[in-house]
Amino acid sequence: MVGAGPGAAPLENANPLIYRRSGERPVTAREEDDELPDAIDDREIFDLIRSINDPEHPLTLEELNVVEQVRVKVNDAESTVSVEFTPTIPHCSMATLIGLSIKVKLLRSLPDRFKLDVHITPGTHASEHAVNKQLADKERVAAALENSHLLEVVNQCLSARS
Amino acid sequence: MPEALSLLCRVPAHPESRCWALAWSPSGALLASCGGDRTSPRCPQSPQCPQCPHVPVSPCPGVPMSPVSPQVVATLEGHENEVKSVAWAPSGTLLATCSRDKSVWVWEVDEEEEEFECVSVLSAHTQDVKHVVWHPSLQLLASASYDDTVRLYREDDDDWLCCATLEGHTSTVWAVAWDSSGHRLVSCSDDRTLRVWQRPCPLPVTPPGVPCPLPDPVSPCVPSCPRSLPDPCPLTGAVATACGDDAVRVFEEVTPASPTAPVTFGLAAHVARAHAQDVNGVAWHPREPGLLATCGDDGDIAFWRYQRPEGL
Repeated sequence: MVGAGPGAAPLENANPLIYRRSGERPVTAREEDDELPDAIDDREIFDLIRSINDPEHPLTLEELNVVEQVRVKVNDAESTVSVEFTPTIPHCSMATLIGLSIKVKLLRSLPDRFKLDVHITPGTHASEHAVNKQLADKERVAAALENSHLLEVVNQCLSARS
Repeated sequence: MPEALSLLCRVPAHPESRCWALAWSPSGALLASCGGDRTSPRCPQSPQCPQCPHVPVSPCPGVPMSPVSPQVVATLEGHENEVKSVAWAPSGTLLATCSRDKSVWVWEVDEEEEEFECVSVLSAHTQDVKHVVWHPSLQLLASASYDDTVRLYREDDDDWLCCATLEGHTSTVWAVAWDSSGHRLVSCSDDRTLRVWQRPCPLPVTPPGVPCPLPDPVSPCVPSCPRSLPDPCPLTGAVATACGDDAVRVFEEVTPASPTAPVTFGLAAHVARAHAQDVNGVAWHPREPGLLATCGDDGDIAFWRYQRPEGL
């Protein structure tokens, strides 16, 4: 199912549109100053998730336009993060896995105080409601991560490409 | 309003993990908790709360403050996925379990032989079953599910059957709880509401095991939040909720303006940052009115004193 190479099952979306990666974040003088606290902002969250690997293609979620900075909303004061992701096709069977990967990346990276809301961009997936409900159920997320096979697949999505 | 609920003390019961649920022993002498930490080196320790010394805390489920640790007398097998909830019937002769495998199992308990026999597998729900709870006096079981419904079950001849489906919530029903009379049922949901369900008839006079038809009239919904857990106090009727927004809330029935006025519940207490992370469980002390224990993803157990605000 994952890492399908030549000879494996045909890809659901064999020829996806590829988007240009955004550049590195410019560092401001204020951010250079170690005395001043830096709030967590949209770009920081986007930088955490944009390099997540697609489960099917040798491309990142940013390159497939599954995640975009404009669909990341952070409120540092209220400790909330909302991420919308857009499956490349409306019947993508990987949507839950992609959402889970984004969620796990953020769970591992952000302070515990944050409330995470990872959901599908409205109107872009046939099973939008079912996928969103699964991703919002913390018992299901916890159970998924106790499944060693699934955890391995998620870790592959989150690992740096060599 | 915060003074309606004041913190007594906080115990780091599951450090570096989360605490999923709490339960008082019937006498109120012991509090059991269960957490995400499966290692149990902490089991023998029982932190004592300095301000409420009568409340010893056992950080691991099934390991109370007795000098002799209890032993496993039976292992109940059958569910295909993790078991979400377990409940003893008040009679002590029945046990119910539920699981992510969508089923509810009723077990008959032979205490002397320490045997547990499955008497029914109930597959009424179409999705994960999150919680089961028995009626306080009747052999009537309620379950809450990811399929947005609550179902009630009763014994029929030698089998069990689903005798009512309570529909109305628009997302996962996390948990259900009866009030002490068994007259009302409260459910809480991912749709951010609580619903109070009331039987149309007065307390049933039917024999145990035969509930009256459908506890349908739905009284009001009050705002709450995802993964909240309701628990009506057996002594005062106040409903406490554990909530995914880190808050603990208490709801109470508002004194009706006239005898014919519809039943309404109001927010009686709200502590916004009751825990550092999601609150997962609430449990009223069975003997001491207004003593509330809560637990959360921060691994802490907190004890609170609740007093109904005036003019509610």
